Amino acid sequence: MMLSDAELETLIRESADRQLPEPLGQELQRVLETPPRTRNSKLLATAALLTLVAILSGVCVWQAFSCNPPTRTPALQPSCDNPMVSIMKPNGTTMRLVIDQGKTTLQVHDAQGRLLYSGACETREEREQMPEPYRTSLAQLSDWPESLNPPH
Amino acid sequence: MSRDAPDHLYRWSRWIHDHGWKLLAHARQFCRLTHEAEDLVQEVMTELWEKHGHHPPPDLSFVLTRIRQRAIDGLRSSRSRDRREESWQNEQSTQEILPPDSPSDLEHDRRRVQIALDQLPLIFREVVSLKLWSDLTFEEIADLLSIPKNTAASRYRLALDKLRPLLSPLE
Repeated sequence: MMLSDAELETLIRESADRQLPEPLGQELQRVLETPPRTRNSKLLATAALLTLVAILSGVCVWQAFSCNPPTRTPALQPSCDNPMVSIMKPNGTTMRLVIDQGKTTLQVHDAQGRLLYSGACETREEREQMPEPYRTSLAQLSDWPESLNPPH
Repeated sequence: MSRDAPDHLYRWSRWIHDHGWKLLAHARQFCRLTHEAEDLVQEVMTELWEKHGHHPPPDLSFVLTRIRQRAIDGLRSSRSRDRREESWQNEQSTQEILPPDSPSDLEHDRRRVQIALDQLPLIFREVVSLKLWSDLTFEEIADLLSIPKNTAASRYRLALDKLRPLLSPLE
């Protein structure tokens, strides 16, 4: 005699042991007695490690630059974003590269702000025609490019 | 676990009390031996507790899915699934059929049902387990197994048809 669907389902359903075996139940209770991990503990550990690396890198860079400051000055080329480049020498003289009427021009002021020199320096020829000591000073201050193109 | 325990701890404990046997019944469909199924349940529950212990217990479906994933990973890592199933069937026929000393009616039925289930392919066993022991709907089973709902239902129908002659009383 074959069982009906309902009888079969009841037989299977009721055959289940609805309790965990004691050893497993005890093991699971022991698991619950162990505090769960702090939320995102891995993430926090990683973040802490990255922060530490970043701080150490910063210290190394700072030490390197403070002990051996770079001797090379940045290229003195004004741009649309930064239309004026200014360098102050130890004696107070300020050298500025500015865009004057569309041309790159060197302006030199003394410590009191008086204009000592102003002249175009966009092309090699213009720079070669600059009077001393401005031509030498300018050349020492910067790696002059072949030509200083006016900003667009 | 007393009711004075922290609330989430109490809820997890209750959850294990209510659903632990369903997890074990489901794990048993993937594992050749009962103690392997117990190990699987313990591993999954430990993992879940460690990761989500600060929160309320997860849905039963979620835990059943984790058990299935772990079990399938284990099956894949073995030499070959077919060989495992074959040796399993052979061992079942020698190990599980051995009559207990004095089995109760319930114990007798339990063994008969599991032996009958063990003769079915895994795709049928797991649907029966999920439907009748975990009380999942066909929709939930379909989600859990990543199969269409109709496929879940038809697998269940086929499983019952296969189990019927194995579990019906002899004339």
